[in-house]
Amino acid sequence: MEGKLELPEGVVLKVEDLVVKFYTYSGVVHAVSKVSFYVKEGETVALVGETGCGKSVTTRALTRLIESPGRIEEGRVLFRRRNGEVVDLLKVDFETLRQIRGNEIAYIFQDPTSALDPLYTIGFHIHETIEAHVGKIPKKETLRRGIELLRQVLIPSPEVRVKNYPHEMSGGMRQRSVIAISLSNNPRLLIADEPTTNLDVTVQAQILDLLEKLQEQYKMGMILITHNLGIVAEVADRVYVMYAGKIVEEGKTEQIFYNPQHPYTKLLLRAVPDPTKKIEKLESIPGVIPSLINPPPGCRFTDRCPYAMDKCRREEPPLIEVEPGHKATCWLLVKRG
Amino acid sequence: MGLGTFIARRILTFIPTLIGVLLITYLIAYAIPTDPVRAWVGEKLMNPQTLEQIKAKYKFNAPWYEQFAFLVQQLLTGQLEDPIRHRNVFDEISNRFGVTVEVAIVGFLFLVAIGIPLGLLAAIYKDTPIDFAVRIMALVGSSLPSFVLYYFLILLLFTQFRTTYLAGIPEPSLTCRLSIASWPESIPVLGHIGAALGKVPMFAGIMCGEFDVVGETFKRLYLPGLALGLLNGGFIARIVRNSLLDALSAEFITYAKARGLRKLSVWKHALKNAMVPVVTVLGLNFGGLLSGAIIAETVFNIPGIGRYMYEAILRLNFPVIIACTFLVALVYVTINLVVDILYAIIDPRIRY
Repeated sequence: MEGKLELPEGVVLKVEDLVVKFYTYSGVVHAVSKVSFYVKEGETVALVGETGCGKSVTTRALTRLIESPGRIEEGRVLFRRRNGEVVDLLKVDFETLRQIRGNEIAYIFQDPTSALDPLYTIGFHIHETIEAHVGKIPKKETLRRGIELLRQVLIPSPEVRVKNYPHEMSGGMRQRSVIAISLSNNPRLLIADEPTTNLDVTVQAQILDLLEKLQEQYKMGMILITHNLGIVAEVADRVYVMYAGKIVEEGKTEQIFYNPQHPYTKLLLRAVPDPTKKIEKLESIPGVIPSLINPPPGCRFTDRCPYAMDKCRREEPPLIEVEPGHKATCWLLVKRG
Repeated sequence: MGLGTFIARRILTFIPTLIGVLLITYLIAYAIPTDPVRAWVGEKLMNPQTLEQIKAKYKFNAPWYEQFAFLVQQLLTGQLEDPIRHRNVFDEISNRFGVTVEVAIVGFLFLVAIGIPLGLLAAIYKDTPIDFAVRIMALVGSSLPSFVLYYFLILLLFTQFRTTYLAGIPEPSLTCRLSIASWPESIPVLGHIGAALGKVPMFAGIMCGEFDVVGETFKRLYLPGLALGLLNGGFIARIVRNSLLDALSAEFITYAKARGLRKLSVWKHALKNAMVPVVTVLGLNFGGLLSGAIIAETVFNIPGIGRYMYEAILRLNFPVIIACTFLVALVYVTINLVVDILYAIIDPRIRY
């Protein structure tokens, strides 16, 4: 590889101008268009946005998990490995990538029911996840580790549960099992795709606590995908708001919540019901995400934006820094500046 | 519930199934408005006295349920007689079924050897000429009249190249057969099982150490086996292809990759998940082969169960029809049981 790749101190992952397209029969879907973000060690970064805005595709592209007809077209994904070496995950050879997957970068998949192989026990899932990275290891050892992991994610009687098949567990327990499997190798970066959607609120809080504790312990960075803004406010350090395959606003959590700049972020925050007030009607954002096949040239939110101007339709707005670390892409901000 | 209880319970459900199959077959045969006794006796021996005798013997003058009860009773006590050959039906069936088992085994081996690799190839090279060729093969296999393929293979591999022969079935030596036939007397339970297995010439050869019988059997039967394998192999390949592609596109495969599993482990997950539908179809196919491939037996001159059944139907030979139907039903329920057990071994969600 030409030139040594570098990352700023303390940054574990830096994504630059990631482009993912899906070549379907009905046309080319521009699922992820020039997305850039970074994650620091021990930091939690939230990726928020509506269903279908490209959050999951973005994170899966990081370790090249995009299957045909999808293709990663452009971009760089710089990752600092455990040994300090910085690599571009989109360029490394397959064996290096495999060694990073599940070991240094781990995923918690959204739907635990389909993520687990129905023909194998939870213990076996943990066993093979460890074995893939440390080489042959007796089942007894991984079983002990498995029980410990299941106990960590608050599964009752883990000695029994480790021998269970996925169908013998409830949805919530499966979700926690997936979390346990993902944590098998103490990853440096955890990509959690809706990790707590199937859990009730008390367990949810406990799991988030656990993840936070692990982050401190192992300096683990975390990308949290969610549309639960309550969780974002609680655990995220920084937030990226995605809309139709693009990041429209980014900033520290307080900046996003107290001083949202992009109209989409504003509407998104308004859609969260306030439990202290009586609600007449739930707020929603009218309209739907535009088709990502031949998306409009300008701002992709134009059709649903209450402040849309002519210019929005024609030209893509630039990324404007409104305060340190807080950026948004909107023509309204340009006019003001 | 343990495996033992499961099997015992399933075997109990065999009883109503078998009775049902027998009853329906009998009623259909009975409803045919002809005189079976005339068909049995033939023109030469036909005189009113003999006809009456036979009618009385098989209770043709009694109501249908008595007739049926008589046939079933004879069947279960093993006394059922073939009214045309004047032989015990079971003697004839056991000799012929042994041959059918051999054809089924050889055919099944070809089926697996052709269907599974082709299916895997079609899945790996999805939407390429290989995949397309397998699709064509499945289509041709299920729409081509089977005898066309059979005669083509005979023309090529027998008439042209003389790689096989089309008469007789290789058997072990007489001493071997006699010794196996005497086993039930000397060994209690296993002796009976051994003797039953010994009805298949190939097995008898193995049991006596006359292994050349196995080689000869393959030489004699590889042509029908190949033909049956080619005919159904395309279909099996399609099933393998589709279920493997289904498994490969499952989310747990992506998750397996995301966990950094080696390629081999990822494939293990996909293949095991793809196996359930394949086992079902293979089981049904084996059952079909065991029930006798009538056309193949006729074309390749094999004295198997299929042809026996066919002749019995032509001559309204009720006792033989009932006995053969019973055998086929028994084969199917047994194979279903085996398939179910295999399922339970593969898939923990199916626990009896």
